[in-house]
Amino acid sequence: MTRELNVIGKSLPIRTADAKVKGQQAYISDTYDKTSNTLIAKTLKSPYAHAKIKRIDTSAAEALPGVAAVISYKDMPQLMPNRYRCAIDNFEGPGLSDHQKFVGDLVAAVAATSEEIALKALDLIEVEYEELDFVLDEKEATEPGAPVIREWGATNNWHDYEKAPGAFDVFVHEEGWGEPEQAFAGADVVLEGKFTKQPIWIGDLEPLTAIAWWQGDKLTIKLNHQCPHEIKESLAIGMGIKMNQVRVIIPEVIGGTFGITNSASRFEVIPSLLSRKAGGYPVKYKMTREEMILHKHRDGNTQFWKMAANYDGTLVAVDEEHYINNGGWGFKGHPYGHWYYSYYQVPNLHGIYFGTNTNKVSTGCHRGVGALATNFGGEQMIDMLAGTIGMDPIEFRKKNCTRVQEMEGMPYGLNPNGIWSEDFDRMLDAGAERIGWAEKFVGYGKPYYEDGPRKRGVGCSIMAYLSGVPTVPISAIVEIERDGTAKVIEGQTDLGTSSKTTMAMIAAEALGFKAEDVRVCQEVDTDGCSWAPMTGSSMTGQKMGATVKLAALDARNKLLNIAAGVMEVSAEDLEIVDSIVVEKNNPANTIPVHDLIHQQLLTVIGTADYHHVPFPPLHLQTGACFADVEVNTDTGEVKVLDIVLCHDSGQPLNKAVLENQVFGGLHMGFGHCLMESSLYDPITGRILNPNMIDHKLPTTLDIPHKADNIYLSENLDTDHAFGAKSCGEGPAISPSASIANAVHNAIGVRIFDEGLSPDKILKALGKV
Amino acid sequence: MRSFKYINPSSIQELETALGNGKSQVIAGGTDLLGLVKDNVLPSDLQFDTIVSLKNIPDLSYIKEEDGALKVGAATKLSEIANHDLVKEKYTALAEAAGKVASPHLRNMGTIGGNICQVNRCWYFRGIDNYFDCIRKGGNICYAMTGDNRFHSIYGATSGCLAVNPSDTAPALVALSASIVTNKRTIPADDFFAYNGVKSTILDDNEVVTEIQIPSPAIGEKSSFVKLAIRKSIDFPIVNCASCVTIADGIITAARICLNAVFNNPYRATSAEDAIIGNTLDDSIAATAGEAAVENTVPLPNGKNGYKKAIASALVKQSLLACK
Repeated sequence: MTRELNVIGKSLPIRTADAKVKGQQAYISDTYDKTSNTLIAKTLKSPYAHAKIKRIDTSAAEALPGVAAVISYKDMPQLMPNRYRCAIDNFEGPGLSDHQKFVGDLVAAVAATSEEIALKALDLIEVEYEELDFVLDEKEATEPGAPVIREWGATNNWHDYEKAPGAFDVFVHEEGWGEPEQAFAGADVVLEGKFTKQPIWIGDLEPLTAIAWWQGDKLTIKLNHQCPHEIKESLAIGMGIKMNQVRVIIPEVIGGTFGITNSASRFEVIPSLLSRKAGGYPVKYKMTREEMILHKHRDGNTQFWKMAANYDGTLVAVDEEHYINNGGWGFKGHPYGHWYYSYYQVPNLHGIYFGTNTNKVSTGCHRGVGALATNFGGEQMIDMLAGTIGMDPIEFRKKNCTRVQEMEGMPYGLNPNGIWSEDFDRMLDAGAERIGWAEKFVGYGKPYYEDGPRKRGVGCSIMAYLSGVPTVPISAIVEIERDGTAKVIEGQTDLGTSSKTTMAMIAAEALGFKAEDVRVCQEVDTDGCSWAPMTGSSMTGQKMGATVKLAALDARNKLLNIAAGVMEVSAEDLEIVDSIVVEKNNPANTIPVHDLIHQQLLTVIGTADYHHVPFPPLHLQTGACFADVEVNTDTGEVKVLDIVLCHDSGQPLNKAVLENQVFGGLHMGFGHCLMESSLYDPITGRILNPNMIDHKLPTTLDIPHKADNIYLSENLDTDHAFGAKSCGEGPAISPSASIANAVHNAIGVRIFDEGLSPDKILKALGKV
Repeated sequence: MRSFKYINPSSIQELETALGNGKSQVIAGGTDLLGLVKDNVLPSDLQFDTIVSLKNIPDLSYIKEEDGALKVGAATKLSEIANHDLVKEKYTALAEAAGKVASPHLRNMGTIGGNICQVNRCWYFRGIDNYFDCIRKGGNICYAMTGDNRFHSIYGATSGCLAVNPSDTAPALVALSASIVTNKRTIPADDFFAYNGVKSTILDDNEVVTEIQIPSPAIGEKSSFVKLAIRKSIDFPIVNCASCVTIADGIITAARICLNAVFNNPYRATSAEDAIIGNTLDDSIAATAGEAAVENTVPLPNGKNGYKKAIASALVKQSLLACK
């Protein structure tokens, strides 16, 4: 579908980029006004991987001069364990508990007039612990006799928890269709594989910082967070007040959080409670780097796969069993595996997913959620299967990938309209051509080039991922200012993806304004904007984009109706081009919006709320990744020589932002595959590398020098956000499996445990 | 961060006075020291209360050739050494090693003196707030013995400790037959690194490195440095290796090979040196040297550090071939 677009699809500069690049941008974590009465919060942490607090005495700490408040589990609102939650079930515990679930779990918090005094006060808190057995492995946590970590359920399985009284409606998954057992029995080839993915600190760089204060019965909290409105709701419930007594402010710019603040957590509860106890004085809670790493992780995962195919290349059955490591307080009961099989036609399927709790650091939302883990195992299984029946990996994928005309009435995926027939063909062809697949794929486990210990191979994988969640409350406002410019008010956090610039472009396109005539209120203040869902689930561009567009069209219609009266023509005969109202059939008859609104002494407000937003079916973002690697079989080093990520996110909104998102996802997937891992001491259960030297995030100098993105934007058959699908999370999903498949083709052995470090490569090669 | 006393002497004499009590510590670039202080790594009885800066002491930063030797001031920044044409040409292993330390920012701050005096590396030892009271800090056990020892020593443990010397420049200095000059004496690099269960070097409490000296290369002498780390941009080595080889008429007449991050001290692979002298430097003899170098390794039987043996062997080979 072609359409004429004036603003959308261009690469426009990000409003805040200038200040960021020059180092002038103030972040909340940088700011501290010493002249104010701001108190500093510090937390006491559990030295044990698993313990109960038998006794806690905070009196000496409270008596220390300069200490304004001390809180422990005794101060937690009673409602919290069962009611304190985000709109999306991202529950992470009551803030402070008498049950310590990992080394570094929070025991108590202090607010004092200085950091020094706060730290001194922590030393004065007396705690008597009862040490308990601990478990780190997600599979062991489900076995009989494993320590019980989730106190509100019988075992560490969400499955049992669901049946427990007063339970959350966290979904547990056992699902399937067809006749898997029969299909496996009758298939030509059946393969099994166990894959693991390590837990990872996701690399949110700006220290999490919250400043909370009370004025009478009103709580204000300013913080770097992805869900201002959801935490407004959860804080209101937790503090026992109404939602209009909570004001949440998100600064105009925050550091990327990649999903980690996608939930209610102790992060905002602790300063809110401390401030209330301290008589309302502002309390600043800023995490250190180690505290950031102890706050939340991407989950570890163990997967058992069984897949069957026939010699003609037909995928006939899949069985998957997942164990998701939620750490101490995490909540995921599902690896989002259905997104995985949504990109293959699987006639017979059985899947079971165990969301377990362990004594590792809590896990939570993160870019791509469980799809990264599922893709790492699943896309290697696909290669193993195709290799066993002797079919090229691209051909096997093309033969079995989802095609819309074949999906009708079938159970695959979230939505039968989600993937178009040619999506994967186009991406596989484009990526194969760019990487030189025809010359470089010379068979499974066979290098295309060898030089002494150095061997090279190529590999590929595909992915599909959601574009937003189906149903969310959402709203936006577009106000035409008295000078004819437009102001967009929408309540989503801009967490570094430049969504505010994108929303301005969408509004400008819909209004018919010049891009420079539209601005979005950059800071989010829940007292000054209407409800919006969190910035997450890849829904900002698509869902808020659609909402802003509708609000802008509402404002445009009002403007045209006013202009129709002034210009004495019907509103239907008018349009707005470059901020000027023009009569379509008489281009000489014009009036600039500025003049129109200024003369008429009017206000014009366009709105859109949930009832106005006819969300179309979810169209999945799709992708394919190709990697070309060199492995040194003497040292186990893996070098990515070239990597190509093809991504279809529909119509690009701001092209520069799209490129940034896709490249950022590639960077993240690369790091997960080759470098990053959170490691735990088996004896004490303590994390060993809670710092940025030992937890190895790749820097710009580490990522492959040759890396390309190919953007495909076909099938723009919905117009709700000018045909945009999503791009936030999908690009992180497929690089890891592609690199792993390429490594296998280079050296003939497969690595089943993500984090393809030299020790694993050398071990797989039999050199240890 | 804990508060401490900061002294800024302007001469070596003043420095010696300032270092008079045993609770003081020298700071140059501070890239290693400040991490230890901020993370509150040491127990209170081992904590220093005074930091003595080298910043105002004149003439500690220079690179010159004099009296048949390269002389490098102890406070010379690593980036200056890495980018110095003379060092790159004649003392190649040192330039390459200095250029691979940490990141560009840290090389701009860190000094050669500090790099060879840095505290041994172990994530148990460095656990924040002295979480692990390990043997190195006066405790009873080395947690790495039974814990996660993937980056630990493969040549055994001095005083029961498996922490490794992580310096990149140290093996280069050993291979290049360097001497370490202090305010008191001149020490061969071979003897300078002498981990005793607490300290990484032989330095006395009031002793400070002032200069590095390397004899000018003999005719036919070449050196090289190779490093393997997970991250290229900023990382400590899993293993590194420096070699210095003299070849006359196609035959190896002298060789010094030094591995690091494999033991408490830089590990001079003398059996590898012996294996190649008198031979032609080629793939085969380099591989033989690699095998000889790891003959004496003792990876932990049920540990995770066994793979370092294969890497050490491969790096000896790589660094020798780079001297061709």
